[in-house]
Amino acid sequence: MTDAHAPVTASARIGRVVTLLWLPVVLLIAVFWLTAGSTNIYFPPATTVVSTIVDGFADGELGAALGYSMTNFALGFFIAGIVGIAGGLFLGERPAIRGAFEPMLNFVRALPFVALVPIFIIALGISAAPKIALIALGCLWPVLLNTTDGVRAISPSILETSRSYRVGSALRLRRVTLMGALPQIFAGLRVALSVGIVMVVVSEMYGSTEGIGYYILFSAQRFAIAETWAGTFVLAAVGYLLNVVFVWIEHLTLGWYERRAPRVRGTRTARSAQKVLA
Amino acid sequence: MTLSVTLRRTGEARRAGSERSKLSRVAAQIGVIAGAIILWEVIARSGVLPASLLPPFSEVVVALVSLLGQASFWGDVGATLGGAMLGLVTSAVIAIPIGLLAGLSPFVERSTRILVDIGRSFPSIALLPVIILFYGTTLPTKLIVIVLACSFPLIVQTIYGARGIEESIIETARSYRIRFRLYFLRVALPTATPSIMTGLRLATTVAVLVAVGAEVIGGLPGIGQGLAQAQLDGASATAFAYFVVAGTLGFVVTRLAELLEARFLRWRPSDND
Repeated sequence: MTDAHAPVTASARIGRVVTLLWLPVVLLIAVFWLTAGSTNIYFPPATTVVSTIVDGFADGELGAALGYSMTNFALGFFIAGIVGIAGGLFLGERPAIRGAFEPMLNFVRALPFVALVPIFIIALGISAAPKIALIALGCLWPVLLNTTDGVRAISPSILETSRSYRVGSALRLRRVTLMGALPQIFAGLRVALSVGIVMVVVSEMYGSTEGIGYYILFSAQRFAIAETWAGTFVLAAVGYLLNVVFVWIEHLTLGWYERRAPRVRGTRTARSAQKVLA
Repeated sequence: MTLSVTLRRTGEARRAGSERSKLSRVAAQIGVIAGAIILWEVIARSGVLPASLLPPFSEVVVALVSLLGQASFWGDVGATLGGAMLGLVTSAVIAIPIGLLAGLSPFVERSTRILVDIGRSFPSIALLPVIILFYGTTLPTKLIVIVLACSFPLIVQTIYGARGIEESIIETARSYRIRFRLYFLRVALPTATPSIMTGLRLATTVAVLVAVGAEVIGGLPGIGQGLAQAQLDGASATAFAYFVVAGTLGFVVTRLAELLEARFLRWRPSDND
């Protein structure tokens, strides 16, 4: 808590890195140590899992599975992002239409879209298109609803100022509405990120012959447990990396917002934190 | 006096006006829902989409009514809800103490940060095939997946809440040498409660979602399995009826959690910024 204000010396910086890393490292060593020479079929030696990951990427199987999943994810997430932000800006700017759609949207956002997986895949087959549609459908609502809320939360005085300066509607949409809603849009996109990964995995486990979800499921069904763990760890690593990259992009884009007075930021993040996943 | 009458009149006029606008808003809302249902029916009847993808609304209603009369359906609802709630309670018991400790101690928070970040970005449902190997398609399997999915957001919200204790309160507690147990229960927990309640509300939604997802993939008994089975049998109207039920369940559970949150936090001064 106080370390933000203390002068950052070299030893303090090392201390911070050490406190950040010691527990994960200890756990990792413990896992390697406890599973070394393991004959339990459910918990193969961690070294075996690591070599399975390396081999999997070397012979292209794991890489291909990951590529398939990430392509589907990227397409679905992109579609949801475009439609969600556009729709959210539209609804946010028009209170009458927003009010009319409110009860329906409240119901739609409570729908567990994973349940659509069997409906889509049995109706449309196991190709990539239904999966992309499912991912997009799952990701859409958090983006749409958060964007709407973000536009609504823009201070009226800002909108009045832009009106009294006769800022053109295209410019206002781009520089006032979009920018004002951006923090909340990012909150929505971050929720969509985790929803999207769940949709990727579920759609591939339900019906697929490709992808990381299929890789995990298929290897578990063959009792190839080392491969199941390998796929699971790769997925965990990718999920974590996606989040890290996302936070980094958010930081680059919202640097101006994060540098604002802490009190204002605090109330706003408290509000957006409550909207997360809601 | 004339002034006060005028004022009262304009007040009444405004109130009547706002009532009228409220009425027209409700009418618009009903219109949107009715429009969506008509659109659904027309698209489904037109044959643009495969019937197994979007059965007509009217057939879904018929299927829903017949579902409501079946005991196995209520068994499915019970299995989904029961699993979700049990998983939620379990993850609350695990996550709230961890989150409080991490929120109180910067050392614990930094030490666990990477693990928490990995845990919350991991789709726990991917562990389902492994857990099924251990426990089969039983309740523990479902619970483990739900607990894994709910715990991390809850830990994050609890940390967030416990870190908000004001410096002056910490100092006061320290200068009175308040023991840790008392501090934990009487200072940290109440301060973090609003944020914990938010976390619980989010976790409720996640719990229902993950329960349904696990049922769909793992064939665990519940709404998700009922839906998948109906769609496999070609009864897509029934599958959609299950989907509507799952949505209603999610909606009701989330609303209940919101109401509980509001009721539980009445003591707290409103923070409508």
